[in-house]
Amino acid sequence: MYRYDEFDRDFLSDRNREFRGQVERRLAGQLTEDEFKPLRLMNGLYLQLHAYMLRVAIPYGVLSTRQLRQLGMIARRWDKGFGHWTTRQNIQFNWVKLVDVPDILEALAEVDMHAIQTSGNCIRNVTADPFAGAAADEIEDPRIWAEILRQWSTNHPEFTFLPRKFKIAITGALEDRAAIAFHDIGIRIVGGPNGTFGFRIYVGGGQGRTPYVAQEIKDFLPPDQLLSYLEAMLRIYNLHGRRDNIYKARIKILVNAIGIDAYRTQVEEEWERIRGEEIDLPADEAARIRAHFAPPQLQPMPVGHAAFSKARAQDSGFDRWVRHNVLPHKNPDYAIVSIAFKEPGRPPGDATAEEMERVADAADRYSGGEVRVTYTQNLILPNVARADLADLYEDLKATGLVAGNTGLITDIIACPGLDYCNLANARSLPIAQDITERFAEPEKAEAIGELRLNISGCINACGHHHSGHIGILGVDKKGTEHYQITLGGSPGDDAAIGDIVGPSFPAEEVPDAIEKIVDTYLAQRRDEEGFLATYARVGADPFKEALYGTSR
Amino acid sequence: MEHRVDLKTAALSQTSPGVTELAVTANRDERTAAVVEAVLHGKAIAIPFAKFNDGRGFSIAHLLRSDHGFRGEVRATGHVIPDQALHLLRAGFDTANVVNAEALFHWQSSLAHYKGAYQKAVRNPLMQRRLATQRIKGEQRAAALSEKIAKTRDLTQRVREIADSVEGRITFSTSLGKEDQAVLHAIVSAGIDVDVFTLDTLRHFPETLETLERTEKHYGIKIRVVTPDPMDLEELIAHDGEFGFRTSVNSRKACCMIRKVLPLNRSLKGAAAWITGLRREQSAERADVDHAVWDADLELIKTSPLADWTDGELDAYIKANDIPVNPLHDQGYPSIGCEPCTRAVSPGEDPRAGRWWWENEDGKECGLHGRERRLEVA
Amino acid sequence: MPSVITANRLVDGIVVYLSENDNWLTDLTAARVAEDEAGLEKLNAIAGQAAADHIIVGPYPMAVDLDKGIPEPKSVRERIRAAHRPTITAVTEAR
Repeated sequence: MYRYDEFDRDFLSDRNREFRGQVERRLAGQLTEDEFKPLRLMNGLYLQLHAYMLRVAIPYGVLSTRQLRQLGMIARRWDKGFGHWTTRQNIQFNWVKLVDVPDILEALAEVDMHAIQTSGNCIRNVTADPFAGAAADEIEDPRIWAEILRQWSTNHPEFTFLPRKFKIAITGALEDRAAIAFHDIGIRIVGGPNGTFGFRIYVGGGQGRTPYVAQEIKDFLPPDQLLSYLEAMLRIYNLHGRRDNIYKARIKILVNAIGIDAYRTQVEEEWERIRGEEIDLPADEAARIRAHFAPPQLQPMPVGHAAFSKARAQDSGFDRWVRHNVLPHKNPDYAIVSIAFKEPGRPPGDATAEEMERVADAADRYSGGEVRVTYTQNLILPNVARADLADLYEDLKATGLVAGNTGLITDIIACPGLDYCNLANARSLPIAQDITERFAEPEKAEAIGELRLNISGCINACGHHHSGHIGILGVDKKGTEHYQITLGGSPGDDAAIGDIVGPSFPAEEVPDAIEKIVDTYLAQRRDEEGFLATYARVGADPFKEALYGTSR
Repeated sequence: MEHRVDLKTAALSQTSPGVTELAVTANRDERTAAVVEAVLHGKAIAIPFAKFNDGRGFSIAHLLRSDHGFRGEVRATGHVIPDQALHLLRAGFDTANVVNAEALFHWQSSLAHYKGAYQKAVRNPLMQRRLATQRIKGEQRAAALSEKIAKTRDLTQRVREIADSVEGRITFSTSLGKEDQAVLHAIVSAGIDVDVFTLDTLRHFPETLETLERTEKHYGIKIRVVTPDPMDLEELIAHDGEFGFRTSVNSRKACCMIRKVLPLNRSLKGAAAWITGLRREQSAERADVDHAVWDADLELIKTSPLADWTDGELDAYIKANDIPVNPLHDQGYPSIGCEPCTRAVSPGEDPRAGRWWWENEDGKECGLHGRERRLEVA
Repeated sequence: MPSVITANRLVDGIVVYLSENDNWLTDLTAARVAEDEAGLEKLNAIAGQAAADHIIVGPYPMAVDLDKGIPEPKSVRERIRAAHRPTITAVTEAR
């Protein structure tokens, strides 16, 4: 993984000193809240419902165990003993004090971490495939390019005061596990002629109140031209994105207002002009960054098939966990393991300090000290020898983190909702808890098969409800919390925005409604057909009928 | 009263040219018109910020510089805050309006906040990531080499370590003084591939030039002779006369610059390492000379294999190896430069006291090894 | 409509209510209640000053129900704020 050198450390310490000064000026009354707010947001600090919330970047989802332990330390020392994995590869601490934040940022800097640009109208933490470097279907490691983008976008002189926030995601594999279609810029690494690769660039995706699937702007961009192309894209957006209406300020509105072709023409024209400006990295600097992501030396570890099969046969929990949480690695002796923070009753993505430390222990023992965080709010051990799976499972069992439900209906994405968030209209977490408890029986969840269920507490859609196979959106209906259900959304290669199925439900009716949808799917599906395929084939009507009766 | 902060100097701006205002919504034609107007009438272009977080002005300033090539003053007016100072400067602004002069302090501290920046910008007052990479790598390599050199006092072994550690061209600039003669002897003995050159300032003592010839014959090698750029020289003499260096330190430094520093820089271009004969005992300025350091300006490793040698060690080495030396050394010239600027010193005087003896004692470097070179070559 | 003023405390962001003697306390039941427009205006002025004095952030009036003179929040949001905790069992608590 990328290791900071003197330059990166100096930058971070300069940044932290600057923010410490800004906090001091705010506390002394030399900055008004209006002036301070954009500055604190650019350093990841929100003022939420109950307290300040600090959002810490986990760049492209990569964590060392040292970093993970430090996050645990921070949770214990400055928060209430837990943190929350977000839907964009960050961690949030919900209960920090403004006066402590400069010290927290220093503690993060000790392990080369920061909260820079995790909020604010700037280029946010760049996200990537959490399986990067390990995935069996990978063309090129996206972390290299995510790190290049992280550096390019950090404290950018021109793009730090954009019309609105700006999110970039990148994937280097055949399967999109980074939801690139729902980002302001989505980057897909594609193969080129003679073993080369390039970038296919998408623009204008996003969720929120006006959801859009990103459109392709560039079919194939040679790798050494990524930064200049993005610089042209950002400049056109910075100049022409709307600033009169916060709800219309994202790039998706600009792109859809003028059309992708007109936007592309402007970008290409600007790109042609600036291609000679040496915005792109010189080859040796790109090589320096690449060298940090050299593949780990994995020893051949042939798995004892007999012992493995026996362990699976003896323990149905282990067997299920292997079926759902163990994923193919590019080295057949190894596996990618998903550690689910999604057992019934847990607020999705919340993790205690102790759990962070136990996962760090497991990663040190079984995964070369590396951990990933997914936008679906789980952790990943990217390089586990298949021969170690049974031992790893036993270790995780002791911490309770062995839910074998990755990708199933109980692997819910949820935002913090009205329990924490200032913007929310309704709570998300109790709904998630109710649904996970309704489908707590592992056999039940497994029988349903892969199903993405996402919950947002308001139209800003941090819980990705638009892209859930089943989406739940909290709304405020005359002062009470109601939940609107959407069907047919997808975050991946078949990216789609879900359709609203009908009138909203009060909280207590939501689990029943979800069960009716699931039952309808199970009744309608053919063979191994997934939820989306069934929905595409039968349409919304059978689901509407199940939910609202034949009268509608 | 409105004030303006000059972002490049972090001081209140003293100039007040007329202003042509350019809206943040300006299209290319409108920007062109503003540039024409500003250039014709010597005006500044003012870009108004309705609110500090309306960042369009940053792109407009960038375009004025990069697209229109505008070199005049670009000013941020309206609502900008001190915390944006570096963003403004790097995006191409020269000045920013400030409501009160007391805020200047915050602008100054904001401008001084960062040492480095990750990306290239219109202006790069900070260390850039891509250069820092080179510097950090260079410093690591230099530190490792320095350690290796310090492990032995054998000069031949020392120059061999340099050759073994450095990938790329190694240069050695010789003044034909006794330190450099010793180093040359070691280079020849080690049989390593080094680009040896000397700077002929066209003002050397005849003894020095004779030493050059004698040395070439003695070792059977060819030393590359580098002379000043004739155009530069013509200009210098037209401006300061043949002996302008005696009239002021500045003229003297200009002479050193044209006769020595610029030719040296040309010769070092593209080299991976530079061997020098610097010794700590030579002068107070040289007391901290390291065996190998990364020279960020020249982008090479500067080595001084004699750094820790004493006068006695050097003399013994020269004697033991029968190394040809400049006869002037025996006539009271420990340090030999150009003829008009070097005199003999009395026993006990600072060895470099005979250089530019009419100037003050401190900082008597021609600029080959001093700090001045950086400013001039930048 | 009876109202109180609530805000977040600057130093730690904790939910506070304007109480007697211009104090900002975390306990809603101790909040000063404005019974009418005139009373609310007075509280607003105090709150505005406290924000300018960098004691609190983002003060706003919030309608309350009175139970024997004790203010109670009307909305889910304000109930959650007044409780100073989420409504769910936290991950650190026994489940």
